[in-house]
Amino acid sequence: MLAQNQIVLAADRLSKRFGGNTVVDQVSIAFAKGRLHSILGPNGAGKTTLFNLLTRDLIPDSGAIRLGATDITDLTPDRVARMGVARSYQISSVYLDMSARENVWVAAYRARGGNPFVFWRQVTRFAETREWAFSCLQRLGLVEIADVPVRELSYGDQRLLELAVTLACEPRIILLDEPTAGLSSKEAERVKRVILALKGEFSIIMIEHNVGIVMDLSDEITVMNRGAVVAHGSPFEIRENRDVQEAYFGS
Amino acid sequence: MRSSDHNGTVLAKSIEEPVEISSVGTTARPGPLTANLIRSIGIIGAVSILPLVMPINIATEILIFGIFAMAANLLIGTAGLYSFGQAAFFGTGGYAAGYLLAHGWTSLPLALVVACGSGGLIAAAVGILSIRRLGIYFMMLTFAFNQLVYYIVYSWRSVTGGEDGLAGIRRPVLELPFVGSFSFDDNRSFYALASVLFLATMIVLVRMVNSPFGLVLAASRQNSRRTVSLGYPVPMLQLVAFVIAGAISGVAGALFAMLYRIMPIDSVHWTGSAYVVFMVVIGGQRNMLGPVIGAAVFIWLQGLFSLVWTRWPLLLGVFVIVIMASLPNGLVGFVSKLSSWTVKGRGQRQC
Ligand SMILES: Nc1ncnc2c1ncn2[C@@H]1O[C@H](COP(=O)(O)OP(=O)(O)O)[C@@H](O)[C@H]1O
Ligand SMILES: [Mg+2]
Repeated sequence: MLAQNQIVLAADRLSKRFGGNTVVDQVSIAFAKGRLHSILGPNGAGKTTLFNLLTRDLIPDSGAIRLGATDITDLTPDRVARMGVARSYQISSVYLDMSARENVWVAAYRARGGNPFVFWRQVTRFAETREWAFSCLQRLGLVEIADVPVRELSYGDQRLLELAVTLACEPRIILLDEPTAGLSSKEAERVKRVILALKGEFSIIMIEHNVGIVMDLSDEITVMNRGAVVAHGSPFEIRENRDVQEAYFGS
Repeated sequence: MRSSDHNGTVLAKSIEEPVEISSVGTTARPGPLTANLIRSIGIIGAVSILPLVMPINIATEILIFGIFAMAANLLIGTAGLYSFGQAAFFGTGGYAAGYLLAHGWTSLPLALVVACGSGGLIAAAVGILSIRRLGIYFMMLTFAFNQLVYYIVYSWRSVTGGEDGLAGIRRPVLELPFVGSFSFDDNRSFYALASVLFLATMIVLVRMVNSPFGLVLAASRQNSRRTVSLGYPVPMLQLVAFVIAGAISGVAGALFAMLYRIMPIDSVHWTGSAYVVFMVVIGGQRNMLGPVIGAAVFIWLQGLFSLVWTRWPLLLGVFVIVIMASLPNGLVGFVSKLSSWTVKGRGQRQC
């Protein structure tokens, strides 16, 4: 069990139903500070829904969510975001009609306490935000495409931009929903290196189907199936777990 | 509903030569100053020439509906909110200011403040009840509220004049300390007033679209959920945009009431809401010049078609459909595309 002061984010008996379908069923899970915690599970297991609950994109039917010592169960998603929880989406959610630069700017501005109700001062005037935003593009190697309309970028670059946007949030916790989904193996390798570099600096929770990446990067792994946690442990323990083996390692 | 190319950061263009300037709010270099200067001169020039090439009332109407359409474009082009109830705010501003002007309160600042305030207030009420609805539901709700306002205006005869419209409106007077008082009874001086308000609206809206507010609003158009997850209170931002657009529409309505010295009930009819959406669509949503061009073309065509055939709205409808089908970015988008073909590389974004 984790000591209370090591926990950055925790769910306590969290449940969510859609119609008659219990998609997340009494899930209790704790995420430790500075660790990379992966969530594995087949499609439809409820992983994305769990993320949506943790960020309050969805309202849980029951259960509680704590961020550090704060109960965030009743907060709105923008408030949760402002408390340092940043996420990337399974489906690319970058702004297609903007440049990459503007995409990260929007994230960076709010992260640095920017007020969206500024009507007169021009976006070009915020030098500090601009520099921070640009450094996030640099970190992901996206400088060359900074000013290309995002609509024209490759899917791989869009996924990397999504990570840059998430970084620009200056988060305490990063939730990554299948960061390598739909990428070529070369691109996936690039994303893996990025995540490896972020590890330790941030607390990271990652949903990922690429078992190789999960095993290489994770400090801890939770396996979900049909809305419930079925296993939890270190990569080694999970690899040794029979039920998981059957589902994932084909033996 | 299609999302447009408008990225919330393209500045207004000159009428003569629409040049796509680069946008992005995030480069160190300030925008190309000379290009801005040329654009500003072009727009001021066009506004000055307008009354020389057409009847002055038509020119004034173009400016008024230009203001109305720019306000609508803050919602449509930037925020992606297709309101079909803008005539309610245009009408509210027109009736509220018109009532004052018809009852002896002729101060210009008072009329404008009341128009702005009443338009914004009604927009706040409608916005609070509809802003969280998405897509078609938002359209239908704004439309329904428009009908409600129309019905109130229709039934409240003692104040609004009912179906006869609000008559007896006088043009306002501007009292300036130490300078004297200006009346706007003369159509040319009234045109000057409309021009000043038109240019002021354009400056305010262009700046707004390129401010953090505008960029985040454009972001929420493209992906509302993502924008919330970056920490922005999106519904609140949208509501504020809705109120601002309502307030500006109110001013346009007041100018309209002053122009013809009557506020006709037709001005709050839902067709007015549809027309202003058409203006935006015809002209293009990518910048604030588009809706103005749209308003000009619309008013011109309305005049032309109504001479040709009494069923002119039908012709207008066909025209709108043709534009929508063939020019997804409206006339201004089309012209800037043409110029980017001819001047190679011009359309490219420079940063
Ligand atoms: N908004 C929703 N409405 C109804 N059902 C949903 C919704 N979101 C997800 N589901 C259902 O919940 C189940 C779990 O989905 P999800 O959390 O996306 O799984 P995972 O991310 O593990 O693949 C699926 O069966 C999916 O169809
Ligand atoms: Mg998923």
